[in-house]
Amino acid sequence: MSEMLTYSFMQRAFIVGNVIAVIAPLIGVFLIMKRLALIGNTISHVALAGVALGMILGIYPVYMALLISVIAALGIERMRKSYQDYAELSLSIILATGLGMATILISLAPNSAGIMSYLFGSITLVTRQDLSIVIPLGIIIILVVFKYYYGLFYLSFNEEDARLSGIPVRFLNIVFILIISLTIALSMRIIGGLLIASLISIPVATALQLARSFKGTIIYSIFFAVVSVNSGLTFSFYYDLAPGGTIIITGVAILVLVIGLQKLKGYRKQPDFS
Amino acid sequence: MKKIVEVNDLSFKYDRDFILQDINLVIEQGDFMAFLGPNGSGKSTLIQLLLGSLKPTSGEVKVFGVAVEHFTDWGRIGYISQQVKNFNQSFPATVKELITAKLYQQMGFLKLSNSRLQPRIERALALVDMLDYQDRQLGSLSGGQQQRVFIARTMVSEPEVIFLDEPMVGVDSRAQDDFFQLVNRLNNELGITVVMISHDIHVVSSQANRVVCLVDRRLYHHQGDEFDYSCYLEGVRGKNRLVPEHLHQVVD
Repeated sequence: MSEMLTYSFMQRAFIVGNVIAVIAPLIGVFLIMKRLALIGNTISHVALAGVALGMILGIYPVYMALLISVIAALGIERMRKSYQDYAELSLSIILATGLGMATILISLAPNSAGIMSYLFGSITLVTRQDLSIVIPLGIIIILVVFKYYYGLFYLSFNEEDARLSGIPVRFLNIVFILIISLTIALSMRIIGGLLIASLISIPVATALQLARSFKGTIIYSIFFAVVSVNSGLTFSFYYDLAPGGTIIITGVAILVLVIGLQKLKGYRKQPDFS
Repeated sequence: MKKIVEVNDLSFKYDRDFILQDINLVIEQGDFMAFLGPNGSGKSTLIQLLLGSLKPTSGEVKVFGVAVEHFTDWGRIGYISQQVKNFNQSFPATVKELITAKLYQQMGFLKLSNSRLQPRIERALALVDMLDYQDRQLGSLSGGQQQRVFIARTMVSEPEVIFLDEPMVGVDSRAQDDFFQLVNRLNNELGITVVMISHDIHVVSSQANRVVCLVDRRLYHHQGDEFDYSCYLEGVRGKNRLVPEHLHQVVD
């Protein structure tokens, strides 16, 4: 274990990984309660187009991913209004556009091998530049959630009720979708664009098995994400596996374990009629 | 008397059909106003227009003297709808969390709960006799208990007016009685203005001081004690109609 941490690239991977492990499920809880889990998938596919564009233009890909995903996020929020009853439809349209653009741009990019690290995540390639952007933006995202906590909570419960309680619904929806897009763009480096949506949703799914309150759901989600990321990165280092996939599969294993334990508990609780 | 709601020449249409046309209405402080009318007569639509959830085709709605589209002081208004129970039953929120959220405007810079808000939350829960349930998950409560939680949520911001859109549909009669007693107390003792849609003629007859009938896209106003209940009841029973024919007089 200590040997692993003597490598500076692993130190960086753990720092970035743990920041992501806090912010991804934190926003995930609100997103899933709004029944908009697909937004995570949509924005991450659009962010891939940003990465490819960055590579072609010679701009740091994470910056480009940030920019493009923020634009996409605002587009989604606008379309969600026009297709109110078909929220998934507007997301599918943007997802398709993003992925289409990404594949075209990847085929044009000079170093299309490099894009693999953004698709599946990489631990060896986390740079100091990544640290300098992930840490401050991660802190900002956490602060924004604290600042508007009960507003975001009410928005995920019911938008109309929230409006009638004086919550600035439109403003908070925009703030929320912006922090989602930031989280996704930041996570691409280590988890990968194809897998980040899973880190947003799987720990929350596990938490929902156990939590009895909204706050509890958030705390459990973060706990499970932190466990998944740290054990996933460790496995990935020792067995030379893709970090994103290892983290996600660890998360799924925890989910299955928790569901199994819950079922067992329920089974034991059953009265004995024999 | 202070005007709580003022409606001037309001019209509203879905697609091409007018639901309400050239409506005028004033709700004053302390009123207990009941909206009566057959299904589809626009009672819920009217309440949604009063709350700014729908935009009128023409005319204006003022709430506490402010045009509803610019109104921001929502803590002064409470609303419980017939859809109130259509929420995600597995939403992982406790009773307390849901009620706390209603106090968003009273929170400080950080929109988190604090000890200053706690007594208000407990008062609201005590009002509906649900204080012991504050840490329970919403979905684990019975329909009647959930209803009481939603009333506590409405009351926690200490509103001056509450709008009730048939909130007791699908709740057993005992819970309904408790609820209407509570509403009556709020109106009589705390002076809270009540605007409600109800098909329960007993409630309307025993509590409302003003009755507004919605018929053919228009409103007909009655004072509570002038409203002809026997005619209404006879019509309901005899012809199996929700609102029978009865005389309308305009009251200033």
